Amino acid sequence: MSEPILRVEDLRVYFYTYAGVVKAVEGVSFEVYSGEVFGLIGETGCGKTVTSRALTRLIPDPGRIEGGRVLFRINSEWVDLLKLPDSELRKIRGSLISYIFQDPSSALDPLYTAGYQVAETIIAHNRVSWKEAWLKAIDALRSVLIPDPEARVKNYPHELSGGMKQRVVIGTSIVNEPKLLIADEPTTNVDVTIQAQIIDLLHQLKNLRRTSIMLITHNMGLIAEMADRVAVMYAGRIAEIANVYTLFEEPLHPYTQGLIRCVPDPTKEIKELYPIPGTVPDLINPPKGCRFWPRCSKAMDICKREVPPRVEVSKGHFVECWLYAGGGHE
Amino acid sequence: MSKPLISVRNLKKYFPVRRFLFAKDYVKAVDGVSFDIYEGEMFGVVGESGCGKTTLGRTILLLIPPTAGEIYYRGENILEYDKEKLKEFRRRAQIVFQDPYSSLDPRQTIFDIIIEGPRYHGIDVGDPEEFVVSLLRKVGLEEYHLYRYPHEFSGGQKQRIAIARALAMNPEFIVFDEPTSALDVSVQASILNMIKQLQKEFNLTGMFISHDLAVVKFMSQRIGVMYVGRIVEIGDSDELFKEQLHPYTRALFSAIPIPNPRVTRSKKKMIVKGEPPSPIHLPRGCRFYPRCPYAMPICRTKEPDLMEIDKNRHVACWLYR
Repeated sequence: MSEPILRVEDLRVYFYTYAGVVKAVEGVSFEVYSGEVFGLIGETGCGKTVTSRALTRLIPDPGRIEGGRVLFRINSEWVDLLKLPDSELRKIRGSLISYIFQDPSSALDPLYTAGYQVAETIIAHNRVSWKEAWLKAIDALRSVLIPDPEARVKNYPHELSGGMKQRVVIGTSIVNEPKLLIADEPTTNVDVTIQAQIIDLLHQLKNLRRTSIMLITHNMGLIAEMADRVAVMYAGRIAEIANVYTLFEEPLHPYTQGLIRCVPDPTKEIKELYPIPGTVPDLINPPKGCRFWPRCSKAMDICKREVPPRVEVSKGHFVECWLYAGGGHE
Repeated sequence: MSKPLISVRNLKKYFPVRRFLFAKDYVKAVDGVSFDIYEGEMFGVVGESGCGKTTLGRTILLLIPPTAGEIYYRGENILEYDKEKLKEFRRRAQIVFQDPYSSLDPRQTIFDIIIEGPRYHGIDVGDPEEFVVSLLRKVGLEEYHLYRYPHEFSGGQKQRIAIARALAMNPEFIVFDEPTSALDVSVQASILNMIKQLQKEFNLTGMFISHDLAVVKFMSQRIGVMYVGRIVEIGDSDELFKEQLHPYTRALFSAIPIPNPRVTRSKKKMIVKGEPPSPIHLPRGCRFYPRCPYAMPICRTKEPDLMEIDKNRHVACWLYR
């Protein structure tokens, strides 16, 4: 396997609200390797979007990054993005690391044309004239398979369909040839046939440019389709990290097992689905110990007292659960 | 097979949009749809956003009046019903809406929300509190929820309340309009199981609308596939998943990622280019032909009708003529 390009260690993000401190991300660690698709899956409110935004400190008030390191490799040197001055970080955002946000309608400024927004990204990071940037913008839109890009660059966002807008957003994010592309629910707001086109496009990006993609989603099908390695997030922590085949075929964490069993598979004859009992915990007062124990059918005493450590069960397969940390034999 | 409970014939629903001054265009949300829903079955409707599936569900219940076409309930045209009979139909046909956050009145308690319908229709329910509590238990809620307000519930619980509200009318037919699309998968599973079980228990006939093929397959025995205002294919859900005849159905089914990496990666994909046409300016002929890899000359000029080509399989495509 290739080398890591991103190393996140013990990341913590809290939101200071009137109701109390929301511990949205609590000690998250993972690596992203160059040229891979790293999937981050979890349900609403599990902290996956916050994690992805914290990587380049895009956390708005009242949120604060409370600790951890985000090491990013630039020309074989490791830089901690959380310690970098703002001006330096701004050079990385949109060039070496770029984002595809979930909602293409709000990711584009309604007052500027599609072409302007792509060209602006080029100008911000390169010494080029507007004219050159404009031509590059057309190329970028062509590369994301927008038909007739010469005409489309002059369109305002409201003149484009949802799928087209998402392509413009993707075009903007790849125009500076990023090393790491963070795609946050890139297909949630588009239809299945358009989703298929976008998946195809991301596949091409990865294969052609060797871009590392961090894919954030709640859709198990999309993960199965695209990811090489997967991290499962639950209530602000990572429950399990594994190769995609291992994760689907031999899931270890009870939450991962539950997640896989509750999604209907259309290729199988299913009589009944298996929901995960209970609901996601309140992150202001999360349960002590493992955050999943109140919903876990295999919960033991130690789960209620202590946070499970991360165990590498087999090479590259990590799980944070007492079942695999000798919790049963106390 | 049993008798049809609901039959829809050539149903159309156009919404006017003003172009300039008095010139009008129409959004053809539902544009000539015909099908039957048999007693005791769950009929699934799938399609992408904007294909008219929600409008179809609402039009069948006369929540919005159709522009043209007929809707039969037990063989009677409900568009010809008088006030009295229409009221009775509205009791027997219920709906569960997509968004549980906006379909429950925030200023009513759960008790009021559920009892409102039976009260209006003068249904004898015995002791109202006991009646509502028994319904709450059926949908997995408890007695102490009775006098709470919707904001005190999670999305999944709200959807349970909406289902209890529909059941309170002792209906025969329920339209489920994407009841789980706003919910997380772990919650979705329990709601789907519950609907399935309640359908058996109350002997309900239903129409299940969703954009999620896996969910529709799990819920329904027969499925209708919609594309820009028309049903392009109807078939038994198992059969349809084995083989799709209409090119759009094939594209749709091949596009869904399956939650199994080995299966989904080895699956042959048919990626259609382009996007669905605007329901205001439809292409002449078949509305799928601009994206269809098998388009023939006739597809550009004449719109194909839904035809029975096999037992329980209807397709609207010139390839099968």
